[in-house]
Amino acid sequence: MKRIYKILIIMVVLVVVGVGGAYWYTFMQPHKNMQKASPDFKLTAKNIFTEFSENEKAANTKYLGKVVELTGEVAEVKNENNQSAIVLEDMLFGVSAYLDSSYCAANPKVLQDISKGQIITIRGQCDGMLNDVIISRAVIIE
Amino acid sequence: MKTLTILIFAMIFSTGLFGQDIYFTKTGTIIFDSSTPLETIHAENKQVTSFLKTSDGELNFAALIKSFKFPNALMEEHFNENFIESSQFPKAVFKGKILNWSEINLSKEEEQSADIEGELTLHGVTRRITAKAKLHRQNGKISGSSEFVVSAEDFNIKIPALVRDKIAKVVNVTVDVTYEPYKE
Repeated sequence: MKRIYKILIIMVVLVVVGVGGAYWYTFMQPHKNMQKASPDFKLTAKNIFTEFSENEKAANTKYLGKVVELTGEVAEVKNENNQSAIVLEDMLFGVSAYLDSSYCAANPKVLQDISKGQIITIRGQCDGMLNDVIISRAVIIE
Repeated sequence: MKTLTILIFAMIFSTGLFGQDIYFTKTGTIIFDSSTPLETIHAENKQVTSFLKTSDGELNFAALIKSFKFPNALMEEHFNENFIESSQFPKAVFKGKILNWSEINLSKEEEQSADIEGELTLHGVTRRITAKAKLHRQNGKISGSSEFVVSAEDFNIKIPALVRDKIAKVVNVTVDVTYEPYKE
């Protein structure tokens, strides 16, 4: 009899841990970590802007929600509306990469080393195009 | 959508020729909330592009759906894939005007209230909406804020039966912008 109780208790514990783990995994999983995420596409900021401006629909199908790694010249570094952004190539006809807030909190000095005219590579999620291409949750690669 | 963007910019550039009457932002905020006692559903988009034409009170907003960020990754995924279908309808656009523009005096520094009416396009559906807003001029910038309610049903957004009790049928939308004069 005692053994049956033991087995039952172990089973109940396993079920609770399993269900809890599954629940956590499904409902509480964190956002993609861009520092570790492998990019779906690597290209230049100029090229992604050209693709979007030539055929927005096709570019949306290709890039929307995907992790992209973009290289380009820094046109501006902005701090607006409590968020940091790096503008690549051009204010209106380029790429705006809005930095991941937790990445910025962990690396508060990251923007100090970035200056206008420098060539850098960023990685983030492609949200689409408004007037320029918008990248969110971005991190600086180099 | 693309023609619209081109149109917006054509308008900005063309009006730039006869005087600086465009106020512009690329970092406006739109927050939406459709929480119920069972679940907090809250998302924030801080990359909203908008402009205000100070000659006649014309107002435009454009936001990318994917830029709405949720604290919860799964909720963000469901929102994008099951509800608003952002890969099919990547943008939300509002085109309208301030109805009482002639009564608003932005040379004064005190807060002015505005009645806004226009067309909101979301999830491929266009609806006429109205909203009250507050406008305020400070240090050469114009800030504006508004709160209004939209119904998911109006925009053909279907909420699955399984989660119907957890998601409010109406969505509270809060808009906050700080416009700067548009420079060429």
